[in-house]
Amino acid sequence: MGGMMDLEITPEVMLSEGPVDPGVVTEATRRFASDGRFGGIASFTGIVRADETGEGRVRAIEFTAYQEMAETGLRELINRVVDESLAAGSENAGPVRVHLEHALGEVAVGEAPVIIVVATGHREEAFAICRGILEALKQEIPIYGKELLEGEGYRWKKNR
Amino acid sequence: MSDVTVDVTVQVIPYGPLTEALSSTGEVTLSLPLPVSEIRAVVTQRWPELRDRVFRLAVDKRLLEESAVVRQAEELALLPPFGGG
Repeated sequence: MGGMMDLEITPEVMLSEGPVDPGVVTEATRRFASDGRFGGIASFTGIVRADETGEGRVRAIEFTAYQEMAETGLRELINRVVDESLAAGSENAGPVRVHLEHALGEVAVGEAPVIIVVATGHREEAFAICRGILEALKQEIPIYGKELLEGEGYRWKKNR
Repeated sequence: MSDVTVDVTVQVIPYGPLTEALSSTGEVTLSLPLPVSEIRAVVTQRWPELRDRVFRLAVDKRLLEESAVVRQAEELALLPPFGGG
């Protein structure tokens, strides 16, 4: 069972075609801020880098997913990370809101494959939960990225 | 615990890089209950291309540990290391 820092509503999770619009950060921040109970809103925006691979420079990443499992898994993961943050002994009880979007399909260098926005009562939890969700997403969620290189080649992205 | 086993035909679906590594996709018949480690042996026998591959198994959209015992299954996903985020 969760404790004082329960998510009050189901986390907002979206996997959709094309890069995530950076305006999502502003939109979610405005919406969460207007609630009046949140003292901190942290966000993470992942960006595709033009890595040099030896076989060519990365120009985009093409994302695919086991979509149904990924969406269910993300909701469960968010609830777990929030619960763990509470179990870690936070004295800053309060509600938590989470908005997460991940791209499917092609995302070019400089565009965003993932955005996470977390609103909490105080800053520590906002940072911790935002980071916790990102790290768990990379390890547990069946999303795949094929790095498309300039020219013809590609290689599969592997999370560490 | 019962000794009864049931033969179940399960759809096997590869994801990510494994979509390119397997020469074919299809179904396997499993005599359930079976531990995940034995299901891994069944699919690796059917698709020898999997032998040197790192992947985890999800049964009916649940990621399972090797020691888990599967009692019913419709769909078996082969999940190589993830690349999201």
